[in-house]
Amino acid sequence: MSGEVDPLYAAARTVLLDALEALGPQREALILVGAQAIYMHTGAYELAVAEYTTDADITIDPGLLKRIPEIEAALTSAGFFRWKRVGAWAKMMSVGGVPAAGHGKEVARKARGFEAALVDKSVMSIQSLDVSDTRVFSLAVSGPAALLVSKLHKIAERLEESKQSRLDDKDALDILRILQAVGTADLVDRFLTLLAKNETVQVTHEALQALNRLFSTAVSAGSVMAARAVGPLAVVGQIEQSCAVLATQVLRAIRSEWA
Amino acid sequence: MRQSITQLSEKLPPGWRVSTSAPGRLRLRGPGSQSASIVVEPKTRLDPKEVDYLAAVHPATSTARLIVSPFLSPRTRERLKSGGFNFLDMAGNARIVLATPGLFVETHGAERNPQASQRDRRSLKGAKAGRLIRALTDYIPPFGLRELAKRTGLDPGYASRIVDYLDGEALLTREVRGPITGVDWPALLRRWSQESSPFKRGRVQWFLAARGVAAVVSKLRTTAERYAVTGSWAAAQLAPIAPPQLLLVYAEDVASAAASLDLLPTDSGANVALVAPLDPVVFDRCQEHKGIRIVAPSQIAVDLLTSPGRGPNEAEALIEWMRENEHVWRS
Repeated sequence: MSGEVDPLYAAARTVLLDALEALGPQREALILVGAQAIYMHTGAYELAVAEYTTDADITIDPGLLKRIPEIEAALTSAGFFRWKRVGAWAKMMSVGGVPAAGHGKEVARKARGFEAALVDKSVMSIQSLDVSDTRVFSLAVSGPAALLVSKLHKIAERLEESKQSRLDDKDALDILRILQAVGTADLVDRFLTLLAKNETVQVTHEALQALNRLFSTAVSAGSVMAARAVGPLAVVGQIEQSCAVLATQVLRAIRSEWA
Repeated sequence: MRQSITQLSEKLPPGWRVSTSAPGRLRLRGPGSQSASIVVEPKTRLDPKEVDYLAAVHPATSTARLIVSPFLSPRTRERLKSGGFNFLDMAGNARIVLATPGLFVETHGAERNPQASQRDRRSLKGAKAGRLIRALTDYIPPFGLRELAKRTGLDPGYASRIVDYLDGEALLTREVRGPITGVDWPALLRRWSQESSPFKRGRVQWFLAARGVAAVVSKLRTTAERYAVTGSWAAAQLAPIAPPQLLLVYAEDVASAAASLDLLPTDSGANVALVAPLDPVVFDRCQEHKGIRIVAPSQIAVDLLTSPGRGPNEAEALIEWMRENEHVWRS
């Protein structure tokens, strides 16, 4: 990594900070998930920056929602507008002086796997990637195990529907990047916590089965997708084997604790 | 002479003929009425260093010269070529370039003298030669043989033999029976790389670091293992080259290093290679960059020259940096 941040990415972070600022005390009910959450954990590793990664996905914990400020009113007064689909908000930003398409902030629907973020999360400080912007907010960020749970469900669903596309390959690579960036012991602890709670045991179990099915060998579908996402410059076998090694390590450790 | 004519005719394009026009002279006749006269200069042997004297002894004349010898070594041919000389040996090597009439012939034959004598080629393969070459490159002349032997811990007789050989190959210059005054270190490194490589000899073992090279580099910062990084990663700390795909590391105890760096042996897809050094000279004159120990630039260069893939290109980029920054790495 050269240390320079893609301006599109910096703009996305600014939009997120604008939303967090507008929502005030409601921030405590929010949990950052998705690509921006992954970046918080894997920053040192390269993350494929595609359009979708500039979206900030946020889950709301209904149990922590306050009565005011009302979300729609707060966002609207900060210059956001509803965009494309239910729960999605956007704001116009200019990137490098050129008006760019709005980047959405999406309030997560009941997508499978997001409930894990309510359990495996930690408060991190979110800063601007723009040197002139000194805002800092504390925000709960989905932990790496929860991120894996939701990604694994997403990939498994897409494979089942046979609706795979290039974007899904990048999801597989994100899984490898998380496995590389987070220590096995830490990850295993988080998975065990998820397995111990009624509201997340089933969804976590299914995710670990998907991890086994899709990433535990160098020829499994997920390992192959991750290698494809790296592109023609990838060293043959390297990505696939890395997936297999790390996925197997995690699964073995969980099995030995769980048994 | 007859042999020269035979050898030459075989190499000429169709429509060309060669014949004797006078003692020691050949006439080359091309299509149409083009022809050129060429003076033959036979040499029983020609060492690289002696090429310098050819121009001095016969200053430029209008008649083309053809150096003929039973065998011309690659280094001799290299020097003849840069001196603009035409040559022909009986082992299939030739280069003739004439402006009028227009003629270009270049052929490659035997690389080694089919009738080599003991004097002809010295091996630069082993650990001792390596230590000597590293010292010749890393230290700025002038220095005498005794000093060189002392610095490298080598027998002065051995040092003398190798230095004589390198002198004959025009890879260094020295005063007659005196100190070494100059070293053509880029050519010396290239010559050394022809015989010495961490990749030959089965001393290299390949590994997969599942968490990537960055994770291994982090661990190296705090390891107790004796190691030094070479290859692309090391070069990238000095000269701007593309991000390295492979981390190449000298490790005194490969098995122990692999275990502590969390590396898995692999047949394919490796991103880390560990090498047990042939000689501890690889650890001489190491430097530290960002808390990581890397070998001396001269060692990086020779290792890159023999690395697979982009290695040789990266070596040339590093040698270019070394040329421009001698004050940084030579002492």
